Amino acid sequence: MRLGGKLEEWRAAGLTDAATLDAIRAYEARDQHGVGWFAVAGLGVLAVSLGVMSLVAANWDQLSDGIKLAAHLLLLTAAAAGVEWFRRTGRVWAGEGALFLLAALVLAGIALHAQVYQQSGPLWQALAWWAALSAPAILLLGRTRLTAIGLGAMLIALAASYGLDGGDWLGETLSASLPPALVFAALALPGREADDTFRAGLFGMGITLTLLVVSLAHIGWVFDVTARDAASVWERAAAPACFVAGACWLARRDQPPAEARLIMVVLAGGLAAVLIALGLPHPEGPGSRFLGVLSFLAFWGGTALLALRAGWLRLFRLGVAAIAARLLIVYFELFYSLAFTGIGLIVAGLLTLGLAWGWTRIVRRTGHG
Amino acid sequence: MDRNRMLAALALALPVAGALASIAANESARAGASEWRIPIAGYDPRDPLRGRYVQFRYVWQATGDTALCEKGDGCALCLEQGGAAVRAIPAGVSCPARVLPASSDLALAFEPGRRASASSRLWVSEAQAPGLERQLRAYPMVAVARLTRDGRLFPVRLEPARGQGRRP
Repeated sequence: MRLGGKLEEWRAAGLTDAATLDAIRAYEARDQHGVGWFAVAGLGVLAVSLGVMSLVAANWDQLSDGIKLAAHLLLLTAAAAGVEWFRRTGRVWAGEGALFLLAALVLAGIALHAQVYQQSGPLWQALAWWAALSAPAILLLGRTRLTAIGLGAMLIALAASYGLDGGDWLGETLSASLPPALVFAALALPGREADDTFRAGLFGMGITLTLLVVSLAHIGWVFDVTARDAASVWERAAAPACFVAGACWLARRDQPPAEARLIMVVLAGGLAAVLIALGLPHPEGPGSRFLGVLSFLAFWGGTALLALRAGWLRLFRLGVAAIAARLLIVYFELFYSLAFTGIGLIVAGLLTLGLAWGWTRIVRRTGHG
Repeated sequence: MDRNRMLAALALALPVAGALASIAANESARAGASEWRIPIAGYDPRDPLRGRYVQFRYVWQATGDTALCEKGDGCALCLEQGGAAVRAIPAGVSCPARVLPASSDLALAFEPGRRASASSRLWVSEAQAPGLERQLRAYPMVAVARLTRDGRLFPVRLEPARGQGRRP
């Protein structure tokens, strides 16, 4: 957060005094990690993991298979012991480093076994094996946002590689379950220390993915969805629905009411928006598009309103921006000739101005900016 | 030990247990494997992140009901003539040296003149790869491959066919 200029501005306007400014600066200067720090640390861990993979890939002739396998097992055990040791001694970042090394060694081990035993197969199988062996340790022992994002990214890579390989019912069901499953895991993990950002990272990824999937699924209203397409969507909906129900139940039980309502609207409303966009047979045409616009506005409008009530201002602004963008697209869809395009732009512009007016009114009423 | 610590210990032991299980399963399959020399053609050495490997195609004389494999009904290959030929049989039927294409990650192709081929790869070291590449250009080669009792065929090394060149 860039505070320097703002603080001086507030002091000049007489809103605060020098002592308060010093206290604010001292508080903000405590050990916090910004985006730059994450970028540098992320590059570092990426370099280490690529290094481990390259060492395995070099497949040295000088070492026998037995020695390579034994050395890998030894390193794996040392990394696991390191995680436990640093956890006990309360060294969070050293523990995260050891956990990362453990996860990288699991992936390197899969490559090593493929070389030694001449195995071949699609990438998703290696990633699935990695997830089965590493995810429990990361979920239970991860402490920072960076680790949560790393786990989420690997699971997205698994879902994507499975999809690229052709996919099937199981793969598509698991991929569709990933966004609500991340939120569910974040809410279900046992209580941790106050400075634990792992759960928040997992939760943020789950919510972000959900919003992305809902917005992409909205494209379904532009195409013809046959009864057969719709049936295949419903066949894959049971597992995601279970995760959504579980996450909503946990949110209602453990979260403040305003946040619980927001989580329920994003997850359950998002699932409903996807199901009607892709699981409801409809022909291609203006009527379907109109229904699509309504469902999009209902989802993002509800999300923005509840985000404002829960104090999640970034999500509120994102919601307003999504609605504004969708309203501007309306004229591309409904008007074709030059005259109608002009009318369409005027209508869309007026709707967007109305949105800006509504935003100002809401912000004034709630005191949030 | 409380429940959370027990769970954490189990989660940390899981990667080690997984690696040990993989070694045990592979060693057990390898122990009962028989060895075959299969003619190969075509090569395409690559160097991606996962390591250095040589891509090649097994080339067999094919007999039996090859239509079974082409229709995707599920077929197995019976290795014959020391590995130079295969006989296509229904997947459920047994034979002395039965290769299951799915277990071996083999995508079969059948060519006119009763020939069958399937792509495979051999992981090699960086030091070994250039010599192997030269040999593949110079001589007819064979893949020395092992066949496990559960029908998985995997290459062990590539070498010149008998009477051609020297081993790398």
